[in-house]
Amino acid sequence: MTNKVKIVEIEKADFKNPVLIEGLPDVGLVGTIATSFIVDSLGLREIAYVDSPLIPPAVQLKHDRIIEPVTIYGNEKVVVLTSFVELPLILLRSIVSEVLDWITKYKPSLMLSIGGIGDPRRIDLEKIGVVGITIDQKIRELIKEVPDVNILNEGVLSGPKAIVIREANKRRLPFLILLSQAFPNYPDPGAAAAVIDVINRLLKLEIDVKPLLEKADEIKVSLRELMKKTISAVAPTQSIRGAPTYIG
Amino acid sequence: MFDWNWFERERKRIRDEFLRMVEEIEGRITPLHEIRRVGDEVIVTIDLPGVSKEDIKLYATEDSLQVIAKCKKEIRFREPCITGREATLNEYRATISLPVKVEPEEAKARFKFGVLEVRLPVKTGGKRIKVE
Repeated sequence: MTNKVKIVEIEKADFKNPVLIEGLPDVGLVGTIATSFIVDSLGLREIAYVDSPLIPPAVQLKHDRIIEPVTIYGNEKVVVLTSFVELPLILLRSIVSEVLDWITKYKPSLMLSIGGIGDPRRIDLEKIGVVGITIDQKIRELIKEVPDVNILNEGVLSGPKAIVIREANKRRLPFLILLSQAFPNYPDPGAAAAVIDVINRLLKLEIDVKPLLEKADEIKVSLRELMKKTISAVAPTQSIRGAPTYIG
Repeated sequence: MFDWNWFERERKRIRDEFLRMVEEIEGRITPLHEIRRVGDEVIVTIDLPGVSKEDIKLYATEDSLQVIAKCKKEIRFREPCITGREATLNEYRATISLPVKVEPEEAKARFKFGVLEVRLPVKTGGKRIKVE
């Protein structure tokens, strides 16, 4: 079966140097939880969806609409790529590649990729740390102004976000990866809230994470099947080697 | 040649899926859990969102751990199978096989952020053999 993917536009996009936020399922489903919450909080519209024969067969019914599993939402400034199904690494690469080709024509100002980094000490953490990865000097200066984000200068990153970095770098897109310390194998709304806090300060947004934390238990129960499937699909979970002091 | 291993795996998967469906209809779910061996300890973590510490019953033997936890907080979740209707979570229940024998009397447990962590020392046994 081919792993060819295509972007199907639902409505004509009208972006002006948008920020692309990618949050496909990975460690602790941090990206999935955070991007879904951002979509709801900002009232973003469905702009397009990703189609491929390899995407698990699932659709979401929402009143009179059908939501595709891998959907792109947006307004003129923020574009969000999210998924409610697990995506194997081989498919993830094709999806990221196709979405970046598609967004490039709108000259994005930033590719922001969010997710989790599994931390066995997560149960001890009252304050969740966020690590930032970028090679762009301007973004590096910008992120310095946001407290509580540790910039990773050296180390080896493996897992889904390594794919994102490689694909963004090929296209010379300015990118920033934000990873929060998360329970490796459980949905982690607390870690998602920590990433949203950073995005708020970085993009001057005012997304209130309180409702997310209040619904944390419901979110965790609802997402446990996706969590199990994501663990199987993304076997080499996100990890950073050679830089243990940057987190925590 | 017919792959009996595949058949056996599929049979087990379908049976497990069916049991899971029945349990979910009754509002009883198997929690996510993780087992790690770190040095001389087996560390088991179990995700129990919506539960209070007082409502957790935990039992350990040399090679298994059983957890039953009542959920008093009302948590509604979408039952994914058969009807797709919403169900209310009543209870978590799991029996977890441990990868090595442990000392259940020396186990320690704590509950934080909705996650139960149980540390069980690995059983060191056997008769010491004198090296001559």
